[in-house]
Amino acid sequence: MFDFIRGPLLWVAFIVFFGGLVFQLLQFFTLTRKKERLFLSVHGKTKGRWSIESMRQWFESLLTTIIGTHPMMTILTLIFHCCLFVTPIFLLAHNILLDESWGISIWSFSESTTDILTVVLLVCGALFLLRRIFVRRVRAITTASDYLILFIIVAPFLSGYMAYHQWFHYKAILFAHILAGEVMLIVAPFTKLGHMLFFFLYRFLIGSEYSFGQGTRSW
Amino acid sequence: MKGKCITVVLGGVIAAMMISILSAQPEKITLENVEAYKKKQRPPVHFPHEVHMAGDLACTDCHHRYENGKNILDESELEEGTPNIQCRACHTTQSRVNLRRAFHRQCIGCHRREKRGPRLCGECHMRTPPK
Repeated sequence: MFDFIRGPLLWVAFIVFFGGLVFQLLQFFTLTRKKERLFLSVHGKTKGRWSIESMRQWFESLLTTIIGTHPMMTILTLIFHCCLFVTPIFLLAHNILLDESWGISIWSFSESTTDILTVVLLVCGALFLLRRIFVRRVRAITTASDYLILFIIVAPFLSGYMAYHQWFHYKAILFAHILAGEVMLIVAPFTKLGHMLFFFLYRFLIGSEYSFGQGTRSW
Repeated sequence: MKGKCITVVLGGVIAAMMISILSAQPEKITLENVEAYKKKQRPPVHFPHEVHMAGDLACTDCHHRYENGKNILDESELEEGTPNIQCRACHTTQSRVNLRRAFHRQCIGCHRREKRGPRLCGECHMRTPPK
Protein backbone atom coordinates (compact mmCIF):
# COMPACT_ATOMS: atom_id res chain seq x y z
CA MET A 1 0.00 0.00 0.00
CA PHE A 2 2.76 2.40 1.03
CA ASP A 3 4.74 1.53 -2.07
CA PHE A 4 1.70 2.20 -4.24
CA ILE A 5 0.81 5.63 -2.85
CA ARG A 6 4.46 6.67 -2.73
CA GLY A 7 5.26 5.23 -6.12
CA PRO A 8 2.77 4.93 -9.02
CA LEU A 9 0.09 7.13 -7.46
CA LEU A 10 2.58 9.96 -6.94
CA TRP A 11 3.54 9.76 -10.61
CA VAL A 12 -0.14 9.79 -11.60
CA ALA A 13 -0.69 12.85 -9.40
CA PHE A 14 2.20 14.79 -10.93
CA ILE A 15 1.29 13.81 -14.50
CA VAL A 16 -2.37 14.79 -14.01
CA PHE A 17 -1.32 18.04 -12.32
CA PHE A 18 1.15 19.23 -14.97
CA GLY A 19 -0.82 17.64 -17.83
CA GLY A 20 -3.99 19.31 -16.56
CA LEU A 21 -2.30 22.71 -16.39
CA VAL A 22 -0.97 22.34 -19.94
CA PHE A 23 -4.43 21.24 -21.12
CA GLN A 24 -6.08 24.27 -19.50
CA LEU A 25 -3.44 26.54 -21.00
CA LEU A 26 -3.98 25.16 -24.50
CA GLN A 27 -7.75 25.34 -24.09
CA PHE A 28 -7.48 28.97 -23.01
CA PHE A 29 -5.55 29.90 -26.16
CA THR A 30 -7.96 27.89 -28.31
CA LEU A 31 -11.05 29.56 -26.88
CA THR A 32 -9.68 33.11 -26.90
CA ARG A 33 -8.22 35.21 -29.66
CA LYS A 34 -6.55 38.54 -29.98
CA LYS A 35 -8.88 41.47 -30.50
CA GLU A 36 -8.67 45.21 -30.29
CA ARG A 37 -8.53 46.44 -26.75
CA LEU A 38 -12.05 46.62 -25.40
CA PHE A 39 -11.34 48.78 -22.41
CA LEU A 40 -9.35 51.94 -22.42
CA SER A 41 -7.29 53.03 -19.48
CA VAL A 42 -9.27 55.27 -17.16
CA HIS A 43 -6.27 57.51 -16.77
CA GLY A 44 -5.42 57.79 -20.42
CA LYS A 45 -2.02 57.20 -21.87
CA THR A 46 0.95 58.54 -19.99
CA LYS A 47 4.33 59.48 -21.38
CA GLY A 48 6.44 56.46 -20.54
CA ARG A 49 5.45 52.98 -19.62
CA TRP A 50 7.75 52.94 -16.59
CA SER A 51 7.54 56.64 -15.72
CA ILE A 52 6.82 57.66 -12.14
CA GLU A 53 3.47 59.07 -13.25
CA SER A 54 2.39 55.79 -14.87
CA MET A 55 3.55 53.85 -11.84
CA ARG A 56 1.50 56.16 -9.61
CA GLN A 57 -1.53 55.68 -11.84
CA TRP A 58 -1.07 51.92 -11.78
CA PHE A 59 -0.78 51.97 -8.00
CA GLU A 60 -3.91 54.09 -7.72
CA SER A 61 -5.80 51.71 -9.97
CA LEU A 62 -4.77 48.87 -7.65
CA LEU A 63 -6.45 50.66 -4.77
CA THR A 64 -9.78 50.29 -6.55
CA THR A 65 -9.35 46.50 -6.42
CA ILE A 66 -9.59 44.22 -3.39
CA ILE A 67 -6.20 45.59 -2.28
CA GLY A 68 -7.83 48.90 -1.47
CA THR A 69 -11.25 47.69 -0.38
CA HIS A 70 -10.12 44.76 1.81
CA PRO A 71 -6.45 45.27 2.68
CA MET A 72 -6.46 42.79 5.59
CA MET A 73 -7.91 40.06 3.40
CA THR A 74 -5.30 40.88 0.75
CA ILE A 75 -2.44 40.54 3.23
CA LEU A 76 -3.90 37.33 4.64
CA THR A 77 -4.32 35.85 1.16
CA LEU A 78 -0.80 36.88 0.17
CA ILE A 79 0.71 35.24 3.24
CA PHE A 80 -1.41 32.11 2.69
CA HIS A 81 -0.32 31.74 -0.92
CA CYS A 82 3.35 32.36 -0.12
CA CYS A 83 3.28 29.67 2.57
CA LEU A 84 1.33 27.36 0.25
CA PHE A 85 4.11 27.30 -2.35
CA VAL A 86 7.23 27.96 -0.32
CA THR A 87 6.62 25.43 2.47
CA PRO A 88 6.39 22.15 0.52
CA ILE A 89 9.06 23.12 -2.02
CA PHE A 90 11.70 24.05 0.54
CA LEU A 91 10.75 21.44 3.11
CA LEU A 92 13.76 19.45 4.29
CA ALA A 93 11.96 16.09 4.54
CA HIS A 94 10.62 16.40 0.96
CA ASN A 95 14.02 17.40 -0.37
CA ILE A 96 15.77 14.55 1.42
CA LEU A 97 13.36 12.17 -0.33
CA LEU A 98 14.22 13.86 -3.62
CA ASP A 99 17.91 13.59 -2.83
CA GLU A 100 17.66 9.91 -1.89
CA SER A 101 15.58 9.06 -4.96
CA TRP A 102 17.09 11.18 -7.72
CA GLY A 103 20.19 12.73 -6.19
CA ILE A 104 18.75 16.22 -6.62
CA SER A 105 19.68 18.45 -3.73
CA ILE A 106 17.54 21.55 -3.16
CA TRP A 107 18.19 24.21 -0.54
CA SER A 108 15.77 23.77 2.34
CA PHE A 109 14.49 25.71 5.31
CA SER A 110 15.19 24.34 8.76
CA GLU A 111 12.40 22.13 10.03
CA SER A 112 11.49 24.65 12.73
CA THR A 113 11.02 27.34 10.05
CA THR A 114 8.70 25.19 7.94
CA ASP A 115 6.88 24.24 11.11
CA ILE A 116 6.11 27.94 11.70
CA LEU A 117 5.15 28.50 8.03
CA THR A 118 2.73 25.56 8.27
CA VAL A 119 1.11 27.00 11.38
CA VAL A 120 0.77 30.38 9.63
CA LEU A 121 -0.90 28.68 6.66
CA LEU A 122 -3.25 26.73 8.93
CA VAL A 123 -4.22 29.89 10.80
CA CYS A 124 -4.93 31.64 7.47
CA GLY A 125 -6.99 28.62 6.37
CA ALA A 126 -8.96 28.70 9.62
CA LEU A 127 -9.65 32.42 9.12
CA PHE A 128 -10.85 31.74 5.56
CA LEU A 129 -13.21 29.11 6.96
CA LEU A 130 -14.53 31.44 9.65
CA ARG A 131 -14.96 34.17 7.02
CA ARG A 132 -17.03 31.83 4.87
CA ILE A 133 -19.19 30.88 7.84
CA PHE A 134 -19.68 34.23 9.55
CA VAL A 135 -19.39 36.98 6.91
CA ARG A 136 -22.86 37.21 5.43
CA ARG A 137 -21.94 38.42 1.93
CA VAL A 138 -19.34 35.64 1.63
CA ARG A 139 -21.67 33.01 3.01
CA ALA A 140 -24.31 34.04 0.45
CA ILE A 141 -22.10 32.91 -2.44
CA THR A 142 -20.54 29.92 -0.69
CA THR A 143 -21.44 26.39 -1.72
CA ALA A 144 -20.43 23.03 -0.27
CA SER A 145 -17.70 22.74 -2.90
CA ASP A 146 -15.99 25.85 -1.50
CA TYR A 147 -15.63 24.16 1.89
CA LEU A 148 -14.40 21.01 0.16
CA ILE A 149 -11.80 22.95 -1.83
CA LEU A 150 -10.58 24.67 1.32
CA PHE A 151 -10.32 21.29 3.04
CA ILE A 152 -8.44 19.77 0.07
CA ILE A 153 -5.86 22.55 0.14
CA VAL A 154 -5.41 22.60 3.91
CA ALA A 155 -5.46 18.81 4.47
CA PRO A 156 -1.88 18.11 3.27
CA PHE A 157 -0.56 20.81 5.59
CA LEU A 158 -2.61 19.75 8.59
CA SER A 159 -1.67 16.09 8.16
CA GLY A 160 1.96 17.08 7.48
CA TYR A 161 2.05 19.09 10.68
CA MET A 162 0.55 16.18 12.62
CA ALA A 163 2.97 13.70 11.04
CA TYR A 164 5.99 15.93 11.80
CA HIS A 165 4.95 16.15 15.44
CA GLN A 166 4.08 12.43 15.41
CA TRP A 167 0.61 12.89 16.81
CA PHE A 168 -1.76 9.93 16.93
CA HIS A 169 -0.87 6.95 14.71
CA TYR A 170 2.22 8.15 12.85
CA LYS A 171 2.06 5.76 9.91
CA ALA A 172 -1.67 6.35 9.27
CA ILE A 173 -1.23 10.12 9.46
CA LEU A 174 1.70 10.03 7.05
CA PHE A 175 -0.28 7.91 4.59
CA ALA A 176 -3.13 10.42 4.89
CA HIS A 177 -0.60 13.22 4.28
CA ILE A 178 0.75 11.70 1.07
CA LEU A 179 -2.76 10.89 -0.17
CA ALA A 180 -4.02 14.38 0.66
CA GLY A 181 -1.13 15.90 -1.31
CA GLU A 182 -1.86 13.68 -4.28
CA VAL A 183 -5.58 14.51 -4.22
CA MET A 184 -4.71 18.21 -4.11
CA LEU A 185 -2.42 17.88 -7.15
CA ILE A 186 -4.95 15.81 -9.11
CA VAL A 187 -7.94 18.12 -8.60
CA ALA A 188 -6.05 21.44 -8.80
CA PRO A 189 -6.18 22.04 -12.59
CA PHE A 190 -9.88 21.13 -12.85
CA THR A 191 -11.42 22.96 -9.91
CA LYS A 192 -11.38 26.46 -8.46
CA LEU A 193 -7.80 25.74 -7.46
CA GLY A 194 -7.07 26.24 -11.16
CA HIS A 195 -6.85 29.95 -10.37
CA MET A 196 -3.16 29.27 -9.84
CA LEU A 197 -3.04 29.38 -13.64
CA PHE A 198 -6.19 31.28 -14.59
CA PHE A 199 -5.41 34.22 -12.31
CA PHE A 200 -2.45 35.14 -14.52
CA LEU A 201 -4.22 34.37 -17.80
CA TYR A 202 -7.36 36.36 -16.99
CA ARG A 203 -5.68 39.28 -15.31
CA PHE A 204 -2.87 39.78 -17.80
CA LEU A 205 -4.12 38.45 -21.13
CA ILE A 206 -7.89 39.03 -21.18
CA GLY A 207 -8.90 42.62 -21.80
CA SER A 208 -11.26 43.77 -19.08
CA GLU A 209 -11.64 46.37 -16.39
CA TYR A 210 -9.88 43.93 -14.05
CA SER A 211 -6.78 43.63 -16.21
CA PHE A 212 -3.44 44.29 -14.62
CA GLY A 213 -1.70 44.38 -17.95
CA GLN A 214 -2.47 45.34 -21.53
CA GLY A 215 -4.90 42.45 -22.05
CA THR A 216 -5.74 42.06 -25.72
CA ARG A 217 -7.40 38.66 -25.83
CA SER A 218 -11.10 37.97 -25.62
CA TRP A 219 -13.43 34.97 -25.63
CA MET B 1 39.61 -40.14 25.60
CA LYS B 2 42.30 -37.48 25.83
CA GLY B 3 41.50 -36.25 22.33
CA LYS B 4 37.81 -35.99 23.24
CA CYS B 5 38.64 -33.90 26.30
CA ILE B 6 40.76 -31.51 24.26
CA THR B 7 37.93 -31.12 21.72
CA VAL B 8 35.40 -30.35 24.47
CA VAL B 9 37.72 -27.84 26.18
CA LEU B 10 38.61 -26.21 22.87
CA GLY B 11 34.92 -26.04 21.91
CA GLY B 12 34.13 -24.47 25.27
CA VAL B 13 36.88 -21.88 24.87
CA ILE B 14 35.71 -20.96 21.35
CA ALA B 15 32.08 -20.74 22.53
CA ALA B 16 33.14 -18.53 25.46
CA MET B 17 35.11 -16.30 23.08
CA MET B 18 32.14 -16.00 20.73
CA ILE B 19 29.80 -15.17 23.60
CA SER B 20 32.20 -12.53 24.94
CA ILE B 21 32.57 -10.98 21.49
CA LEU B 22 28.81 -10.93 20.93
CA SER B 23 28.06 -9.68 24.41
CA ALA B 24 30.57 -6.86 23.89
CA GLN B 25 28.35 -5.48 21.14
CA PRO B 26 25.88 -2.84 22.25
CA GLU B 27 22.19 -3.72 22.11
CA LYS B 28 20.93 -0.27 21.26
CA ILE B 29 22.95 2.58 19.84
CA THR B 30 21.76 6.15 19.94
CA LEU B 31 22.84 7.77 16.72
CA GLU B 32 23.21 11.40 17.64
CA ASN B 33 26.17 12.89 15.85
CA VAL B 34 25.68 16.41 17.14
CA GLU B 35 29.10 17.59 16.02
CA ALA B 36 28.56 16.34 12.45
CA TYR B 37 25.51 18.49 11.78
CA LYS B 38 25.21 22.26 11.87
CA LYS B 39 21.79 22.12 13.46
CA LYS B 40 19.85 19.18 14.76
CA GLN B 41 16.69 18.83 12.69
CA ARG B 42 15.16 15.58 13.90
CA PRO B 43 15.30 13.51 17.09
CA PRO B 44 18.22 11.04 17.28
CA VAL B 45 17.77 7.48 16.06
CA HIS B 46 17.75 4.70 18.64
CA PHE B 47 19.23 1.98 16.51
CA PRO B 48 18.45 -1.60 17.65
CA HIS B 49 21.86 -3.14 16.94
CA GLU B 50 20.92 -6.47 18.51
CA VAL B 51 17.93 -6.93 16.18
CA HIS B 52 20.28 -6.68 13.20
CA MET B 53 22.84 -8.99 14.76
CA ALA B 54 20.21 -11.60 15.57
CA GLY B 55 19.23 -11.83 11.90
CA ASP B 56 21.13 -13.38 9.05
CA LEU B 57 23.29 -10.31 8.46
CA ALA B 58 27.05 -10.46 8.54
CA CYS B 59 28.84 -7.57 10.28
CA THR B 60 30.38 -6.50 7.00
CA ASP B 61 26.98 -6.24 5.35
CA CYS B 62 26.74 -2.88 7.08
CA HIS B 63 30.22 -2.03 8.34
CA HIS B 64 32.56 -1.37 5.48
CA ARG B 65 35.81 0.09 4.28
CA TYR B 66 35.94 -0.06 0.51
CA GLU B 67 39.09 -0.32 -1.52
CA ASN B 68 38.78 -0.84 -5.27
CA GLY B 69 35.13 -1.69 -4.83
CA LYS B 70 35.85 -4.39 -2.28
CA ASN B 71 34.98 -4.30 1.40
CA ILE B 72 38.30 -4.90 3.12
CA LEU B 73 37.16 -4.25 6.69
CA ASP B 74 38.43 -6.78 9.21
CA GLU B 75 35.67 -7.83 11.59
CA SER B 76 38.14 -7.89 14.47
CA GLU B 77 38.24 -4.08 14.27
CA LEU B 78 34.58 -3.90 15.22
CA GLU B 79 34.81 -3.19 18.88
CA GLU B 80 32.69 -0.70 20.72
CA GLY B 81 34.39 2.62 21.24
CA THR B 82 36.87 2.29 18.39
CA PRO B 83 36.64 5.68 16.67
CA ASN B 84 37.78 4.48 13.25
CA ILE B 85 34.88 2.10 12.81
CA GLN B 86 32.24 4.73 13.41
CA CYS B 87 30.39 5.90 10.30
CA ARG B 88 31.33 9.54 10.85
CA ALA B 89 35.03 8.65 10.68
CA CYS B 90 34.74 8.54 6.87
CA HIS B 91 31.32 10.03 6.13
CA THR B 92 31.95 13.63 7.11
CA THR B 93 29.98 16.72 6.13
CA GLN B 94 32.54 17.27 3.37
CA SER B 95 32.30 13.86 1.77
CA ARG B 96 30.05 13.22 -1.24
CA VAL B 97 28.14 10.59 0.68
CA ASN B 98 27.87 12.66 3.84
CA LEU B 99 26.78 11.25 7.18
CA ARG B 100 23.08 11.89 6.60
CA ARG B 101 23.15 10.27 3.16
CA ALA B 102 25.24 7.38 4.47
CA PHE B 103 22.74 6.52 7.19
CA HIS B 104 19.70 7.00 4.96
CA ARG B 105 21.07 4.98 2.07
CA GLN B 106 22.41 2.23 4.28
CA CYS B 107 19.30 1.82 6.42
CA ILE B 108 16.43 2.72 4.08
CA GLY B 109 18.16 1.13 1.10
CA CYS B 110 18.40 -2.22 2.89
CA HIS B 111 14.90 -1.99 4.35
CA ARG B 112 13.54 -1.27 0.87
CA ARG B 113 15.41 -4.20 -0.69
CA GLU B 114 14.44 -6.58 2.09
CA LYS B 115 10.87 -5.21 2.26
CA ARG B 116 11.06 -5.05 6.04
CA GLY B 117 12.14 -2.51 8.62
CA PRO B 118 11.20 1.16 8.89
CA ARG B 119 11.21 3.41 5.85
CA LEU B 120 9.31 6.46 7.07
CA CYS B 121 11.07 9.44 8.68
CA GLY B 122 9.31 9.21 12.03
CA GLU B 123 9.74 5.47 12.34
CA CYS B 124 13.45 5.99 13.06
CA HIS B 125 13.52 9.62 14.19
CA MET B 126 11.06 9.04 17.00
CA ARG B 127 10.00 11.89 19.24
CA THR B 128 9.24 9.41 22.03
CA PRO B 129 12.21 7.03 22.31
CA PRO B 130 11.30 3.33 22.31
CA LYS B 131 11.44 1.59 25.70
